[in-house]
Amino acid sequence: MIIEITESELLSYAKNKKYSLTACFPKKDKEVYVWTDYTSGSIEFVMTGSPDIDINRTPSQTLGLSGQFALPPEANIGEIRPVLHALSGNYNAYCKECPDDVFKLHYGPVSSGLWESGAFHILSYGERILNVAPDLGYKHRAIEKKICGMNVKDALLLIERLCGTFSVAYSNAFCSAVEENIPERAEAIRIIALELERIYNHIHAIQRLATAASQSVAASQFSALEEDVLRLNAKFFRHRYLFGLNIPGGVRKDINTKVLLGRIIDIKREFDKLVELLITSTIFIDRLHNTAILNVEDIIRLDTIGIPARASGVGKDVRSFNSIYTDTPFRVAVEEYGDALSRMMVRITEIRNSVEIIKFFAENLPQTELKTDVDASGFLYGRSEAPPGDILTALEVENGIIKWAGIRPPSTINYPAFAVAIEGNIFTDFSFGIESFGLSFADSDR
Amino acid sequence: MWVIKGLRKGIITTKYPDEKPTKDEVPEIGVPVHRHGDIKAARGVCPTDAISEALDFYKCIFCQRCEDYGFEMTGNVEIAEVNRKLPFSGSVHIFLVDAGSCNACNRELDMLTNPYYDLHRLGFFFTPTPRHADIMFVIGKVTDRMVEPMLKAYEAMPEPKIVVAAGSCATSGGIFGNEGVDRYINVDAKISGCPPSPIGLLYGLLKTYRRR
Repeated sequence: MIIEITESELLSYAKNKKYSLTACFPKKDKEVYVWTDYTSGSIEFVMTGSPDIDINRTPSQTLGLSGQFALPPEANIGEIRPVLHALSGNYNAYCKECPDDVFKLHYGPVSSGLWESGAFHILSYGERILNVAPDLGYKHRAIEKKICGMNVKDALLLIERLCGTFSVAYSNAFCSAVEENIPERAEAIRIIALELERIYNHIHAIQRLATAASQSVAASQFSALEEDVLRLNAKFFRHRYLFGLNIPGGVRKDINTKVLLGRIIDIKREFDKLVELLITSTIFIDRLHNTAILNVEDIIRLDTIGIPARASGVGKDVRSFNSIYTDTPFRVAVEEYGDALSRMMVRITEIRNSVEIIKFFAENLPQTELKTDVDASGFLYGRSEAPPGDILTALEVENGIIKWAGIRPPSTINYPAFAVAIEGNIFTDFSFGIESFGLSFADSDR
Repeated sequence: MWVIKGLRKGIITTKYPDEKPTKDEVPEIGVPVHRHGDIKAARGVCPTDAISEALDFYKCIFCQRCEDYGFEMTGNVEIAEVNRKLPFSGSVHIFLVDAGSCNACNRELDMLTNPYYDLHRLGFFFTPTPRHADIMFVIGKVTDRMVEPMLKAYEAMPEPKIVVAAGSCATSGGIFGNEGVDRYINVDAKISGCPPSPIGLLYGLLKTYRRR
């Protein structure tokens, strides 16, 4: 439920280190701030705003494309919590003034190294990167605005295509918002799909790191392994990127877990061999070690989530608040140092852990129905752990029709963290920094 | 060590296009084909209006809803049409413009360079600059802010040049409505799929210069 508070109360939320700023959505003439306590998993929705703000604002304006997101005038929450600028789409706030002898580069949106459309303002002095400011919103498709007025079934198709490579995480977050309880078998199948998605995305991130280090054999081998996982997806879930698996109230098709188990164990064995070779390659490790460091203070100040937080010793993982994960092999993978190497090691640990989770659920698949009816109404939210961090979906539903939607992707929060991490590094470390975060522009732009 | 590892793996590259793709290489979900049952009811559940007199393969997003109404998902992913071909072959350079995709199309294009498909053996290369490009490859629903960069990239390409739109978002707008790439730029070739599978992409790319 959303609690209405005053601006000074909001400021005390911002000053309290216990809460992470998870999201900020416009809702009619108010702003909804979402604060999460990652030690207990409790989440609080608070609303504030003065009535003189333009009431015709729509969720599409969150990205600042057609209007600025009005912050409460006296509260300087943006200074205490810099991630607020990214959440409200005000990326200009990260730009610094360019001194005379400093080189200013606008990298993107159509560029070779990124494969996707997004841009960065980079200030550099010689080889040294002085400041990076993300300039995102090129791929803004206004999905939050589009799903308003749709029924939950049709909206799910758009939600899956918000970021195709994190489609299960998105549809899980959306479905868990609109469902009250679903059959255990459907829930287990969703977990298997979610962990498969994590596996192929993490392998992809490692492959991109190997590509950045010109380790072409390693890159090819990991790329082939990723293709193996995608083919596994296609064989058991019918789609290489797992679209169409989730429907509100359950899953569409059953799976044959015996064959799946054999295939996933083969992939794990191959992965272990490749990782053994990769982490004994000193040339490769040297490039990652001490690159793009984020320490614990940065993580808390920037409200960073997911892989970079865990790599710096802050175990933020929303899976640990989900009761279905208790008594399973799931463990939060944590590293201490916070550099690109730590982030890769977290990924490696998580892939192994995901295989264990898949094994657990595939062996103990409950014999129940696959779907139930959904009858959602009121203010709802759902969370899910995508490969780079957690997703929050907040919805207001009336008789199955969506009235208002707010989606907060993990990349929105972690791009500013990447910009801070890469400061002070040299230019050739840029690709190592960005690939180690594993983010996506399609995800952050929604 | 890596070289030994690489040699030990052996050849895993697909025999496509000389042989038909194997069952592993194509996903179970290709284009749907009507077998029996009520087309009118299926039309009602199709989210993209792909089902009309003939099924519009470029609008289909493989949502599998029409399966309940007598449609069957085939493994056929080789759906592409080319209106204007390249006058040469052998070394074709592709410039990728992501006009607002969901990252799945990007990933499939990235997968084309892996040892399973090895795009380079067929004479296709990705180039980082439009100045060297023969094909502009557009994916995704065209967003407002990407129109200008896309048109600029097209201007910068030398003649002869063709535009290939891949995926249902780019070819017809797909789930986002009737907003394909052809609203902004003349499209010479289309590849269907959501996202187009690697075999489908290879089929479409080979069609841009082959006479079949």
